[in-house]
Amino acid sequence: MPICILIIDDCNISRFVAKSLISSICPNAKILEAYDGQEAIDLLTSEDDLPHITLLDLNMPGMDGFSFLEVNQKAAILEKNIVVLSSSKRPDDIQKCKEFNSVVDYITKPLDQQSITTMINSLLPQKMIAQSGE
Amino acid sequence: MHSTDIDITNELKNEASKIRAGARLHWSHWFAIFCSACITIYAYSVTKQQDDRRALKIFAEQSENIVHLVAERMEKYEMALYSAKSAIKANNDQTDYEHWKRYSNDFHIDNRYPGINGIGVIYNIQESALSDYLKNQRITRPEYNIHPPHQEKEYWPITYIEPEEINLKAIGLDMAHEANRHDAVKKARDTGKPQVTAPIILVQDNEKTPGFLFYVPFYKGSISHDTVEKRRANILGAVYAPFIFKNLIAGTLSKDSRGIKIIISDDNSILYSEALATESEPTYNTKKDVNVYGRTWTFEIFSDHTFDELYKSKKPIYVLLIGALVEALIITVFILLARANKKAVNFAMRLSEGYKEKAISLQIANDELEEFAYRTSHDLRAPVISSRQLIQMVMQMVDKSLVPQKVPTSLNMVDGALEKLESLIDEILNLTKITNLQEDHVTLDIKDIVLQSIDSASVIEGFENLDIVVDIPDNAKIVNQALCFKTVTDNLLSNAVKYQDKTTKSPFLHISYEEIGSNCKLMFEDNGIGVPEQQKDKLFNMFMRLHPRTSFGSGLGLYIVKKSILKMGGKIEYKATDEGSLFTIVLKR
Repeated sequence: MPICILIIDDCNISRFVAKSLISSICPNAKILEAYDGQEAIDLLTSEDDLPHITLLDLNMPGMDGFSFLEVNQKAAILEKNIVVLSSSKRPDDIQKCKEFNSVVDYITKPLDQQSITTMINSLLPQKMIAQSGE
Repeated sequence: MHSTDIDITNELKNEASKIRAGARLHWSHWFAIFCSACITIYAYSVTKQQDDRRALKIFAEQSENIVHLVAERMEKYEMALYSAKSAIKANNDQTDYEHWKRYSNDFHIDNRYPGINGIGVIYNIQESALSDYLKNQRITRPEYNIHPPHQEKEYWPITYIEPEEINLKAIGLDMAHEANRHDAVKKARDTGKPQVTAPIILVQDNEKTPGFLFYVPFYKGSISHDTVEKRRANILGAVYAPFIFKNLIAGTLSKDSRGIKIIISDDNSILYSEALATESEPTYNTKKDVNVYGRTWTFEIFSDHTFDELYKSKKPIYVLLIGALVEALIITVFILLARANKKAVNFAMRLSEGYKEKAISLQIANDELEEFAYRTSHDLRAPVISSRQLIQMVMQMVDKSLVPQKVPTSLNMVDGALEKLESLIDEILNLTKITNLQEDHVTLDIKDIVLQSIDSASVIEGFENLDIVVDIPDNAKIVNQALCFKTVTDNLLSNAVKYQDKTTKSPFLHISYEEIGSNCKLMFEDNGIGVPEQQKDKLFNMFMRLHPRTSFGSGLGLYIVKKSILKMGGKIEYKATDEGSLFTIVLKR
């Protein structure tokens, strides 16, 4: 089964960059996109397979990242592997995110090749990554 | 509101309610009033007790005095009778009509002994000696007779009495005819001592008031008669004085302003009474039994209302009145203080209310500023970060001599990001301008300005699809700040274009105008995508982007609109309609 990654971000550039970086590592990865928290919730509840990793932006119109984390926790949809990807360096925001068990990492933008590689390698088994490769 | 605000407000409220509570009369006030009342009552009772004691003392003294005066007077009469007896003894146990008259006239009893009705001589005549006695008397007084008749074996006729004129009825009256007179004279004979009778009514008293007789016995010779038998054997008679009791008292006691009344009785038979049936219960009264020459007279002495008036001072009442007055003053002072306190508290509350409002508005401004700084830095950074990332990607592609289709897309995106950045900077500048601009009031032609805004919006994508109806009269004019107003109409117009519902066949914007009294209403109604219900309250907030997929702007548009409207002294309301949105602006004309 190939890797499935969900990107929740309102900024189309951010999504484009993340998508491009992931594709350069795992060309066969399945990438899902959502513009805000609500869209992500809708997507997750309709999709049969849950993503292996979720990249979550905080600052979004509509349902923002924090609201998504709360709804997700209450509904117990994603229990792990949420990586917050935000341009905010505010310690308050970082702390608040770490209080959610589902959040495994907090990366500040910009996203680069190095950090996305580290992230995938640390969160997913090697075998799975290899399967998603060329 | 910030949590410290709430703390400060609560603290103020607590403090205020404490002070307010202090402005009421509470237990310490009531305690002071109670203490003052106690002191008054105590002072009253002490004064009253002193007053009562003083009055009681006066009453006791006066009562004593009355009894003393009566007793003293009786002693004087006793002396008068002894001297009369001595006159007889000095005349060899003899007296006669002329002798007695001379003696009595010389004695001036009416002057010297006021209260006495006369002074006379009674002889003890045995039945055998009666005719000799009568014969003897009739030598000088042919009409002399003993009366009334009785069953006794002896006679005690009044032989002489002076002054004769007022005592005519008594001459010849026999003491033996009536028990009280007879018993007393016999007792005088047996004891050899002065003796008064039980109450009788004198024959010479036309008013028939109580009276008594006062006897002093005299015996034959000058030897002592130390036994009853000797005294009975040698008795000659008695000198006597009749008394009408009221005359005795009148001569003894001056009634003027005594404030005291007496009842004198002998063995429950009233001798003298000053009591009136109407007299109320006396404040003071006393009862004294006094031995008066073989009888016991009971003195009932009581105070009347004049005594109370004379000797009971008004001091306790004054003390009570002054106490009550002081009490009233204290209460008044407390009430005035409490009222002044309340006023001060209210004044302070009004002052602090003003400061609180200022503090809150400062807090709001501060919060806004913080939010602004945070959001601005985020939103300014985001396109820069994205652009750099895209440029890095492109450079990597160039490095690897890979020039796939992604390069133009990436460059387009960089352009888009920079464009977004530019428009955000423009909006921030706009906002700064609106916030800080000191603009003059000028006459604004509303329709003209709205048409200008429509013209400005015509460059926005999708403008040609929107059916704009302007329903504003040509003469609609207000006096206000031009730039602010233009900013509002520009923003609402561009929003209407940007957020039209693309799924609708005929998107419209209806702009209408209405005048209500001194106000005017400008309404923008559309059938656009509207505002999600849960976001309605945050509609006019800073950096509020409502629509994820149609997120064109900076999120400052409606915030700027609201700022402008507030600066113009008006208000703006949003209402969701069946089809879309309705923004209503209210401004002064």
